[in-house]
Amino acid sequence: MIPRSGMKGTPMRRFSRLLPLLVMLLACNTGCRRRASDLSADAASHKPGTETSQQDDRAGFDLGPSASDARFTERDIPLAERPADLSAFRDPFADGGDGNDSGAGKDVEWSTVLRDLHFEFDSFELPGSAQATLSEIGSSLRMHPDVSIVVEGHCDERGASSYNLALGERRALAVREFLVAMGIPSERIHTVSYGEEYPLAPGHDETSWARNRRAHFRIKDE
Amino acid sequence: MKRHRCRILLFWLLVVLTFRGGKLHGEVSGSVRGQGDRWFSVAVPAAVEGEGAEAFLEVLRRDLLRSGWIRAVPVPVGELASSPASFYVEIHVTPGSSLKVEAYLKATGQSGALVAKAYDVRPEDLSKASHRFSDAVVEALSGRPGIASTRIAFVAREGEHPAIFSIGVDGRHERKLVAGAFPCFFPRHALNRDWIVYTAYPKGFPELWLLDVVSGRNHRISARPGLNTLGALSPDGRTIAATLSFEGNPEVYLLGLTGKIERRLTRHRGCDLSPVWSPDGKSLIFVSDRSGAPQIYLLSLEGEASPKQLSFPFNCGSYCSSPSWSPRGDWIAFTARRKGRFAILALRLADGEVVALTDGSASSEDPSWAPDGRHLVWVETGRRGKLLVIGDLFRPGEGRTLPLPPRSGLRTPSWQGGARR
Repeated sequence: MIPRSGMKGTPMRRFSRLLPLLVMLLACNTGCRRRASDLSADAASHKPGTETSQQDDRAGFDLGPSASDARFTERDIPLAERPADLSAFRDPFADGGDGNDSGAGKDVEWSTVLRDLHFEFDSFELPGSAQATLSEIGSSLRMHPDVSIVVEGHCDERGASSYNLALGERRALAVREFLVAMGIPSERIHTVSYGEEYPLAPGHDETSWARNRRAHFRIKDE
Repeated sequence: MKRHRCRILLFWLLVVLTFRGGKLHGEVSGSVRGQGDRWFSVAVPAAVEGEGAEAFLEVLRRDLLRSGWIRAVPVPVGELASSPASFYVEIHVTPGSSLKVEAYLKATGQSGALVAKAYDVRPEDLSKASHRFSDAVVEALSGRPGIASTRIAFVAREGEHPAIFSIGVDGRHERKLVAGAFPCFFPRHALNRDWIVYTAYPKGFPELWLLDVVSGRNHRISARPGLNTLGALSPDGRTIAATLSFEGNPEVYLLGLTGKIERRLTRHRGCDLSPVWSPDGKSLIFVSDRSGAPQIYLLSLEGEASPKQLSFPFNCGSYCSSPSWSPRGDWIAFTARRKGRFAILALRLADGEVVALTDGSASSEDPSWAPDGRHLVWVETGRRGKLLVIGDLFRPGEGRTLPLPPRSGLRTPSWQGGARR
């Protein structure tokens, strides 16, 4: 790569023409300190099981075959999308819960008593207007000691969904605190936060947001 | 003559500078600005004969480019070993019902290989072999794990309810992970294994669940009254930090895998939530509104020190949430409200330097770090709706959109940790 004619010069000249090559070689050397062995050596490290992670501590918790149990080899990559297994991912609670039953219609009287309460932005303080509604709910609960209710806390879409989940819970808890202060046993008032998941109004303006920042009530199914 | 020598010198200097990005395993220090301009030059065959070889190379070229560490230079096969690039890739493909691919990363002018892999794959799965080889090349050169074969979990609406999905970082092979006739959200990957902690409402209330992605099994961790949510598995896989409110206020607790409470970590009238582990498992960051609005706090698990506030209105914004801790431990990223929009900020723990990763043209939320501690994924809300965006700590203000079909309720992505399957 160095011009042949260059080799005929004085030693100094020769050196000066070789200098760039030396610079490059030096650069390569520092860059290539970590040299791997040949394929045979590398292939040896790909025997089944060598790429597994460390043994995990299951602490009595049955997690089934985890990553650390499964054998893995670079030569036999589990490449399929495993469509047969997809069923395992779907509806893991199929035999479990019953979703969100509204409980509406259980007692016609309740649908008029259990009215939504609305909150200020980023606040879980009960608004002044909530007192009348809550007093009515409290007295109705006292008259029907067999009834338990669920207070749902909801938020508008603004802000972090994680923080909104906590905010919704605090809205529900604020309602519960008030009812407990009215003498309703706390075990009859369940709270659940849905954060910003289920807006009542679909818009992206203050009118919609104000409707969505709410505590909603439902009768708890036993 | 002197001028001629100067020209030769200049030529070689340019060659060296052009084809040699950074030092092998070079440590990134100082400001992140400008780090994105450092890369390794790798010569990749411009075209190759044989069934599957071109497909393998096409994916590989894209993967190497997306890694951020490498510039792939197309070079004719015969000139690979003599190109001015510092490194080169050599592949041999043997066709058949299954393709046998041998792939090497070699250093120019050196014998032996830095990476040598052999794959035996069905033609339709060739891209996975490319991803794996790309990750091996990136790790050999940068010293950090590659991201080409990782996946990203995210939440999107499935019918009426939010459900959890995952997708490859190339935007392909989407898969439904958890869905039901109730909300499932807040997936958070473990650092060292393919487990996801998430929140689900199977009985109408938020419960904390764990999914072993490999076996597909789900396990309930906590279903106490109130919130059981925003859980994160510790790096050693033995403990889950989570947000519970059964004592009347959202607080951060440590739970065993059986759900037993090991320790209550926060005690404050404000909301304490979203705990995230440090990679060494010795501390946590979490969100608290104890100062009036949500901000990020650091809590050491050693000793009894009280939480230290990391983000403040003056340096980050009035509302900071959704933190993620880089797997390398040096940076955290979070969402911050700035000028009425949400931005993604990164904060270096050593000196408190704050870098805005988004340019403010759209609202962006919910960052999650990639295993390389360089890339992040977040959700951008713009004119085109909600998108998953992959950003680069070394290239603030830039981002690549993950091609996803339009969907509602897209949020809280979580990048798969170091566990590779």
